[in-house]
Amino acid sequence: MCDVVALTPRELVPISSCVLLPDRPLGIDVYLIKAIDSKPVLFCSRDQTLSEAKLDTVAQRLPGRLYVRCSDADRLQAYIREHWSDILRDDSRPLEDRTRLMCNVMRDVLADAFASRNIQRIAATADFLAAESTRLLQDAPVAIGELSKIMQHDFATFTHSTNVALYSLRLAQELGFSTDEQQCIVRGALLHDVGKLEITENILSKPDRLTQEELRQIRQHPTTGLEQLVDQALTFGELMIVYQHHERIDGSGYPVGSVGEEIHPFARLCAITDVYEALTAHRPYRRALRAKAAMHVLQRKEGVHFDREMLACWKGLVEV
Amino acid sequence: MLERAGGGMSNMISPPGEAAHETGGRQHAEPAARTAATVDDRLVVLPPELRERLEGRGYQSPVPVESRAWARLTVMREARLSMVHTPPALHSALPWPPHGRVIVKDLSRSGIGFFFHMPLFPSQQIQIQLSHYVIQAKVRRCRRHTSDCYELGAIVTQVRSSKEDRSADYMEGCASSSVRP
Ligand SMILES: [Fe+2]
Repeated sequence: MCDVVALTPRELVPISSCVLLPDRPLGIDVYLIKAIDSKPVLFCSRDQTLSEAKLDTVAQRLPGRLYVRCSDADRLQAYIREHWSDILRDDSRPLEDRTRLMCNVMRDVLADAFASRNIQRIAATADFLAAESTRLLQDAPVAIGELSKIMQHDFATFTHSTNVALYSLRLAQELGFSTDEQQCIVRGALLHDVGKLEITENILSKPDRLTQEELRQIRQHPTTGLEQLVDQALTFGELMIVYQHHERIDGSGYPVGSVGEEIHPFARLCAITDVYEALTAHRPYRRALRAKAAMHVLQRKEGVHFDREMLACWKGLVEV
Repeated sequence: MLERAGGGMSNMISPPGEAAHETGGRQHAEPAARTAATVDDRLVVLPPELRERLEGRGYQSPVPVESRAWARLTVMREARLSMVHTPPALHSALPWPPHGRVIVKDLSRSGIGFFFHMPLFPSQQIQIQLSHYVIQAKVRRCRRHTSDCYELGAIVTQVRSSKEDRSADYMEGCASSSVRP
């Protein structure tokens, strides 16, 4: 276990020790780098298994960080997906570790599904992710600030969708939605921007003012999303998240210009988390806002764009 | 050629009550409750400002002209709408009546624009009987003007004539004014 290997840190990617499971070979060589200037050593070879006791030692006092080869990253993802549920349900692992892992895996898995452009696969992935994330956070609500620290904040649609889904889950919990409803909300939120997959990256990340035609394309995404998903096994509320998340209470939103309670409660909820996430993420056309500044922006539109009660609840969560 | 509304726009764009009277439909001082999925024969009432804009031709369609493949003929006349298919996941929304009355605003070879007193969802399939033409279409967009007036756009999937086969006339009528064939 202590063979120094001729690999440079550039050939390696860090992994969380919580992805390792007892008695299940990873099929990938895992390396340990004890300090910044030290050489990688083979920690666990591809066909080796780790005992429960060994894993405990790893979790509690691992001297350094674990890595895998860049070329094995895909295999690791496959392993995580296969054993993800077991890891998340393992109460002996710290919740923070499991939440971090969940965030990363959700993002990765959703990225793959979006890249496939296969709407059936995308819907099935959202279903699976919604079930697992709702289960994990059911009895252990995580503070928004903690979630935000764990999350990536880049501009990719799959990152945004993952973050909106997790924020929406927390808001749904706080508003007293049932577990089934929470799961629907997460599923819908993961899919809310699916219609954007039809829009070119040039338009989505254009730093300059959008032309009328570009704006029209962007504004088409809730409709496109609904049309794509309407024949998948989704509930009405989930479809309304996709179709109505850009509607505003005062009717100034799109695509329909629905007002107040004409907008499905799930969509009113996601409208808040969607804008909050967008404001706090790095975008090519502006820098990320801090939580307080983002909240200030939202509150200026309280009862105008956003549901008053839901926004008050979100404010309470963010300020904890 | 496609029949145009006999008396021009003002025939159809009339204040509440008048439209119902002219077309022989029942009066509707109050909007009917949306809980009943039975026959709802209300004719959509266009809000005064929309009516004025349509009459004054200062009306801007929600879809820009340059993104249309075919020019649209202004129609502005009443027609009968039937619901053909609603995807099951959307069934728990408003209970749409099986039939209803609409005002067809315009139509082209590929699309039809109309006003209805209820919102419809993209992907719902409808049928509009306009004069002797039966137009099958799939809803593509819906925009709210008031709680009882929605402007809808649908993609025409099939045109049949309920009299003789005059769908060729329909296509010709639309094609003769194409912007971008
Ligand atoms: Fe969106």
